[in-house]
Amino acid sequence: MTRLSENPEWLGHVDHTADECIEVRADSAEALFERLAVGYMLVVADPNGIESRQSWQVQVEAEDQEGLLVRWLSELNFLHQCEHLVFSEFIVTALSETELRAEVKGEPIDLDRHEILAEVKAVTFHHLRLTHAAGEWRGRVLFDM
Amino acid sequence: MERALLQQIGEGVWEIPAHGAMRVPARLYATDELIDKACEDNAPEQAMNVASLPGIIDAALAMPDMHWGYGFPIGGVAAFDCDEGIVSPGGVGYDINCGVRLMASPLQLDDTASHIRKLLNQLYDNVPSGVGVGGSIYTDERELTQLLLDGARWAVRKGYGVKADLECIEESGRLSGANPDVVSARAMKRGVGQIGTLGAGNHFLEVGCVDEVFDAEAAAAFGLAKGQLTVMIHCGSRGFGHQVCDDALPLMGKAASKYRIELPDRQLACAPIQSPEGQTYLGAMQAAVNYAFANRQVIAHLMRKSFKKVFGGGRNSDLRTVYEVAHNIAKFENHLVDGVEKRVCVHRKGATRAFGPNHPDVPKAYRAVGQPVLVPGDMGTCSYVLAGTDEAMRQTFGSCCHGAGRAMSRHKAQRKAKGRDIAAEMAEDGILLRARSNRTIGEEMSEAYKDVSQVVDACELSGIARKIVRLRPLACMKG
Repeated sequence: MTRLSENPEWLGHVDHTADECIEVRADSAEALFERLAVGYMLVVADPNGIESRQSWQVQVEAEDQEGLLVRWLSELNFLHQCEHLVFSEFIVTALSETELRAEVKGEPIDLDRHEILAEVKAVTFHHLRLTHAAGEWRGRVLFDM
Repeated sequence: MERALLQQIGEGVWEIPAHGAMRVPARLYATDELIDKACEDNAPEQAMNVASLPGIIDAALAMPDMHWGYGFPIGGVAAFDCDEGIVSPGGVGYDINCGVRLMASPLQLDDTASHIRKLLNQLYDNVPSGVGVGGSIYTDERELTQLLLDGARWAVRKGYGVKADLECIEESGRLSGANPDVVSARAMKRGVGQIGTLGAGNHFLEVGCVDEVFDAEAAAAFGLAKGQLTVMIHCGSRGFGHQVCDDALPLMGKAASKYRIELPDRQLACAPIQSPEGQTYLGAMQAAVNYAFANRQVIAHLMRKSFKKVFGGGRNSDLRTVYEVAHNIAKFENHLVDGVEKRVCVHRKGATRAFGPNHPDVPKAYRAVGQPVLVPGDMGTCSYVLAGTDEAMRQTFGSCCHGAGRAMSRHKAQRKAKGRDIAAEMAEDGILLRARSNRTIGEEMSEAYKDVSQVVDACELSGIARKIVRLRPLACMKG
């Protein structure tokens, strides 16, 4: 389980002229996917005041793990923008090359308590990187702003 | 990219000859100064990638505001053969038919200066903006389907505007190939609640005035004169368009494998235009194009309501649509290829159509001059109205730049803005600003963008557009 926090040490930003690119490292693929979800959330909202009041099950499929990463973050972006949710915790419960299942916790957006910072138009394949070496997983993803 | 790869082939025009997987050259439009900046970025490499796609005609082009995008560079233009070529969501972008409308008021700045703050506040109240903010116009899925088929015409039919608006929108505000049947349920869901919304990021409403006239005859044809109050609307197809692009990418990725198209970048996923996959994307993409046309038409209506509230009814609150252009689009157009007129699929991603004089698709009132090309700068400097040229028809499939183009990443801009009051700095220069998000103000400050005047000068240098008037911002509203 990975909880939303301000400025986690495992999260980095890659300078990109127009858009937002984040880089994350973790010691398992599951943690990497959870941390990338935290990275996404920190792009779109201030983490302060987001509570774990409700939970939702998320399931996505793709042709490969890179595609899965894009689908996972796209699903969170859809839930954020269309169901007006913000998230505080991510628990990847099952992960294969082509399927991810997760429980996400959070609450509906309340503009009196939550500050929304930016709009992610889409999660892109551009600059996407997913690597695993010497026990460390690294992921990089670029959001179209 | 190594500058040595570039050959200057004309004033403000540079070429990377076809080599490796490139089927055609890549051609970049820039001044000496802008080409140096472009080489520090990945835009030239991205243009080279585009040059490798099947069916590309003449060259992969990049306009003077080019910068690193995904798939195509921002500022990228490419035309493809309708039988042998491809269509790519990476050549259109996520914000399908993001574009700009310019409207002109009969009012002069001298008579209205004291009302500008009130007008800005009225716009802020009337036009929904910001992240995830819903529209003020109710549509259900049945209504949305009609909107997807009819674009701006739907909005005018519903009372949001007048027929004269339609004559001054690229493609008259509607593409006929929209197919709502191929649009996903998820895109429909995202589209229902967002009609008449500005969104966030670099989208804006701007009240300005004509600051300088470069060509009095052409300006008169466009109905623009020095000191005249203007408004600009910059937005796109909102979550609907983003979802259409998102939905298309995995399908196009599979199609690229199926049709054995080598992709130098996964974001260039594409399918042959004539394939079922290509036709499916074109149907959904054109529906998103129409969504954006309708969105800007409804916002124009909200603009008019705001003017009426501030300046009263009658002629004072009239706002005439000067023109509206699309920035992110793939369209079928006729162009001369090797001296023969041919129907081609032109992708413009962060680029503007710039048809020259006497083109039948230019409104009659402007035909002797050429199509108005709207080039917004950043929120603190100026914007331009250009006119398309015969040279653009010959060199760039009738295309030109779309704006200043970012020069600085959002993080760098935020760092530069830290501890500063950007709105106060702008107020000192006589520009009022309101935004839903402070972060947006920092990210969108003037220093984060290239100098739009340099970009426009680069277009003039190569002859693909000519300057008609410059607009000075007075009040800007950001999401």
